[in-house]
Amino acid sequence: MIQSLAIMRLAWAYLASHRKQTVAILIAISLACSLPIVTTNIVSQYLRTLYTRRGNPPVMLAPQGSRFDAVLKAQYFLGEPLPSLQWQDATHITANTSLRCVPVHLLHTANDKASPVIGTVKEYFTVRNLNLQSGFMFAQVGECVVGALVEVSNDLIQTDITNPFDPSATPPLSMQVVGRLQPSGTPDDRGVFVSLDTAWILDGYGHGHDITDQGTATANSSVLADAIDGHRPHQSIRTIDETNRHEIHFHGSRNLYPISAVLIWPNTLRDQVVLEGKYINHKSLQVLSPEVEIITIMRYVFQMNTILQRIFVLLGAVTLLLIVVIIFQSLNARKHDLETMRLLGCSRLQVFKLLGTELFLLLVGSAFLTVVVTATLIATLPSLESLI
Amino acid sequence: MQNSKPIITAENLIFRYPGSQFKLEFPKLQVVVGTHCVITGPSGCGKTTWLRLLSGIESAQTGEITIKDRRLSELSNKAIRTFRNHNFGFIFQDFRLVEYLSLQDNILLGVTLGSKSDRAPAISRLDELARRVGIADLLPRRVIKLSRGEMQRVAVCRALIHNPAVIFADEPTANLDPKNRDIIWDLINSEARANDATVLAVSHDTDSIDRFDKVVELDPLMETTAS
Repeated sequence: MIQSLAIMRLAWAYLASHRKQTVAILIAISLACSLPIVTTNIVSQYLRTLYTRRGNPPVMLAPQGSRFDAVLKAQYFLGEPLPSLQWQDATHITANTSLRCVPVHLLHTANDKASPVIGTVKEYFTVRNLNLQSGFMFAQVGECVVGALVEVSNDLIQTDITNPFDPSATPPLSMQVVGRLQPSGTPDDRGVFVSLDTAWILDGYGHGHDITDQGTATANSSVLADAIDGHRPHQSIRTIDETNRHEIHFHGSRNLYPISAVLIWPNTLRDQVVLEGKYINHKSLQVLSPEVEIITIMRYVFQMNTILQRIFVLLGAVTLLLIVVIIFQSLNARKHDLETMRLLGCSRLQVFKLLGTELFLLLVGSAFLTVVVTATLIATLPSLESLI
Repeated sequence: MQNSKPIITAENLIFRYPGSQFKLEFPKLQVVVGTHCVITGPSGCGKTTWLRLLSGIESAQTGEITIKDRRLSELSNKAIRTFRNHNFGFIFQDFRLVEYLSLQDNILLGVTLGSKSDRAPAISRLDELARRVGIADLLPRRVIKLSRGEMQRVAVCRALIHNPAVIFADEPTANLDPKNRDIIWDLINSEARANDATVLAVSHDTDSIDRFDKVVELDPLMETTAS
């Protein structure tokens, strides 16, 4: 034991006196090990995120356009706002009793874009199996329910500016948080849920103001540009509460108000096939299956991951080769010292132990550095949400 | 105190380096326990080779070397190595200290990497030995920061730390001024006598031979004679 400690001391002395070489080997080994681990971890984390609700709902109605974008936005609240469909498109389909339909409005964010604002109906919570942890469900405009991970201060949450070029057109709205959901391990954990009416207020279709405030004409870029009674108040309500809720009113035709998608749970497979057939050649709308799209995305991710893993295997082989070269060069450079040990009659076994201990210390150091680098990279690498 | 029992016996040695004209022949040498013996001769006559043969580092083509009643030719390489480690102390011409190690680790190197774990007695001797040769305060320092004189002292310590029966010293005072040369020889001789060790030294310096009990002069024509 004492002899082993003494050998470890000699090994440490060698590594410490050749710091640059030691550090280079440590970094090379730890990077060669940690990069594949990090990649695998991140990819599986992304896939897990995608997997959470790939088949729920079975189908959805969305505007024509990118199918991936539509699924990522409606299912995971990822990506930029999509082209919208109109409320009349949703009412048309929700009238069908063989389909369970939940419209979602996904044009706004809160908490400096950290939380998507989801305008929807209460049935959303039933079909998503979301339960309240505290408080109660939103019942009136200006109220919201937040996911388990959403940060809230003073029971209020403020939406982000929609149009940075004309912030006064639809200024941020402070909403009262009336309930918080239990953690679900899904993207809903970071959502802010409001009624469709509240979402349309955020769009600018509705507002509240003093009755004497006649405001000004709407700008051409305003969502109310075509509304006969549309106007832009000088001072609109920014926090809706009991004292001013009665002043909230809407302009324009409700049928033309936007929503992002309709999540649909057909009662039977037949109902689903009929629905898909109905929209198969539709000009502006499409029915798509989130599961099919997600599986396609996952296939791409798997392919990328496979390619990356092969690259890492090659990199690992090159690194190993370099390390072997360094070790041989190091042994070559130490010929004189090793010869001295031979002349002193040092045991061949003990000399091998010394060299083995140096290698062991290098591997332990590399393992430690690998853990640190891996943990740091995993902690600092962006989430799927921030990538898309 | 010397006794008359031979510790080293060499007979009819003939050694050639492969592919070289160099030939070393030696009829007989006998060194008794505790003798301080010096091998002298001009440069290139084979003094160092002689030392390497007697210490088992090289093997003669013919002849026999017996040390402490063990015939080296009958020992395996591993056994010779172990024998060397346990019974011999070496002071090399260029000291052969390991630069990245501290003085302490250098002195204990042969013991630490020996086949027998006998560090404890060596460690207990270390401070006293280092103090006697005047390097006690330098033990934690690395070799690279030492003067040549200090390195020589470290080499002497390393040769003596395990209390060897025979000390082989190969030109330990080469390139030293007379004053330091005397200091080093005195040190080797006194420490060897204190440990009752036999000394087999190589030196081309004729001024030093009167310090030794026995002088072996190697012939410049590769023939050797013993005195």
